[in-house]
This record gives sequence, structure tokens and C-alpha cells, in this order.
Amino acid sequence: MKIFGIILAISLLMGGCADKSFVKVVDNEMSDVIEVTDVKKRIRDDGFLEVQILGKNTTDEYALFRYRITWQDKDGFDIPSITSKWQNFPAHKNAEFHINAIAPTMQVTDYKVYLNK
Amino acid sequence: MKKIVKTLSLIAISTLLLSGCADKVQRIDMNNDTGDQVAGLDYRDFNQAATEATQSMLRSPAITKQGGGRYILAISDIKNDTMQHIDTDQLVKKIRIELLNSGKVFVTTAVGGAEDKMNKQARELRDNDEFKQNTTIKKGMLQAPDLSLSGKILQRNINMGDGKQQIEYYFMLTLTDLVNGFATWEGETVIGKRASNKSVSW
Repeated sequence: MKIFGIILAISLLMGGCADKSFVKVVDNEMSDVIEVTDVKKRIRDDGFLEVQILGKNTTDEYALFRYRITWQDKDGFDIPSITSKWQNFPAHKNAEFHINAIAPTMQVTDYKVYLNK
Repeated sequence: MKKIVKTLSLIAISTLLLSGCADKVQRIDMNNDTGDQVAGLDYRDFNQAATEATQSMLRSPAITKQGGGRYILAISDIKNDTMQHIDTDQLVKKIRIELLNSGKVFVTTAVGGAEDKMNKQARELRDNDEFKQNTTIKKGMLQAPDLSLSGKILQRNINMGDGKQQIEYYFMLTLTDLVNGFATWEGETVIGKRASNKSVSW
């Protein structure tokens, strides 16, 4: 029984390593203002990956931030896209925000999201 | 005499330094441009409008062909209804690249605003004895478009008083299904700027 538990834990760890996607706040000042609460992803009917980042502005002030997303194929190669350039997103005071993005091609398997002030 | 030479040298050095500063050109880091906004439209505005349009189109079923394959997209009129001398290709090219790379459409250059005259010229080589006839293009090879992208960029200037103005830019796009004429996707991005009346937005 114990062996099964160990095998399961190793499988989960390995599975976790396979997903190279992440959401990263690249500016420390931002961490005091917003927090990322959830990241969802799904494969749409047309085979395109869709990502939704849910966060919260925890302050009493409206703030305008920037984000960019890089997309990678199964071999880890970057797939160029217009969404890889910095784009603004609003975070209203004491409110949730979400960023929705759809992958530029069907070949995308992973993504990296960077949030910046 | 020594004093005169020294003064002249100082003037010469100062002039050289000043002229060096005046001619200094800075290259924009387009990957992380936090520079001041301009009253007119700049590349950041076109990037924003193109990103919003392509993300919305990719999310929409309008460009997903049932049963697989790609739609043929023609670029129709994209009007510049602003006071600026802009080429609407600054917007359209970004959209074309993103849609082509998505694998969902082919953009035709045989008809429409993106027309490449070589499509016709290459066909005129038929019956020209100077060309090997088995290398000319056969008849009936061009494909008619399924979809058409049209739209306009609109500008409104509103005087706010106190020497200030509000400039609004509207990027309006429509995707039409050419089989039935239905607009199957529509998108709009609005960009607003406030600036002094002295700022030129044309």
C-alpha cells in the first residue's frame, strides 16, 4: 500500500514538472497591490489553448498594470504572437480582475504570463 | 595672446559638446516602451487595437471552418477617417500576420485591398512565346474568398476648454461571410487621449 502511495506521489510530481506554464509577478511593488488567486486553462473545441488568470486588487486604489504572455509548443520553443508584447490591464480597487487570452496557434501547449507595473 | 587662445578653445569645445547633445538620437525600445504618450496614433495604439481584434476573432467561431481547413480571407476597404496621414496597413498587417499564423485562414492577395498585381501579370504570360508555356499558371487556379475584412479608423476631437482637447480614436472592424453577406464578427477598440490644444493630432 505504501509503495502505491510513493508511486502516486512520484507520478504527480513528474506530471507537475511536465507543465512548464506559470504566472509570475515580476515587480515586487505589485505584490503589495494585487494577488493572483487562480489560473484556469482549457483546450477549446477548435484545439486552441485558452488561459484565464484571476486576481484581486487588494487596495483602495484603482491601478493600471501590464501583462505579456509567451507561448511555447510541446518542445519548448517559443511561438511568436502579438500577445507577447506588454498590454495594459485595469485592476479596480478592492475588486477582482481577470485576464483572458487565447493561444495564437493550435501547437501551443504551455504559456508564461508576466505581470508588471 | 595665451588668454585669447584659451578662451577660443573653451568656446570651440563647448560648441562641439552642445552640438553633440542636440543631434543625439534615441532608439525606442519597442519591447518595453514606457515613454510619454503622443496626441496622434503611434505604434502602441495599433498594437493594442490589433491585439484586441485578433484575440476576439480567434475566440469567435467566425473564422473556424467546420470540418477543418482554412477560410480564404480577402482584405476589403479599411478607411482612414482620421486627420492623420496614416497607412491602415499599420493595423491590418498585424491582424493578417496573427490570423495567418493561427492556421485558421489564408489571406488572398488576388482580390481586395491586399492585392498583388503579380497575380494578374503572371497569368498574362500565357501565349507569350518568350516563356515556356508549361511553366505558366493554368486557368482556374485562383481561389475566391470566403470572408472579407473591412472597417475604418475614426477620429473625433472635442474641445474641453482651458486650452485642452480630448481626442478619441475608434478602430472599427467587420468580418463578412461572403456567401450570405452576414457580418459574422465585429470588433471595436476605443483609444482616448487628452492633451493641450497645441498638441498636433494630424
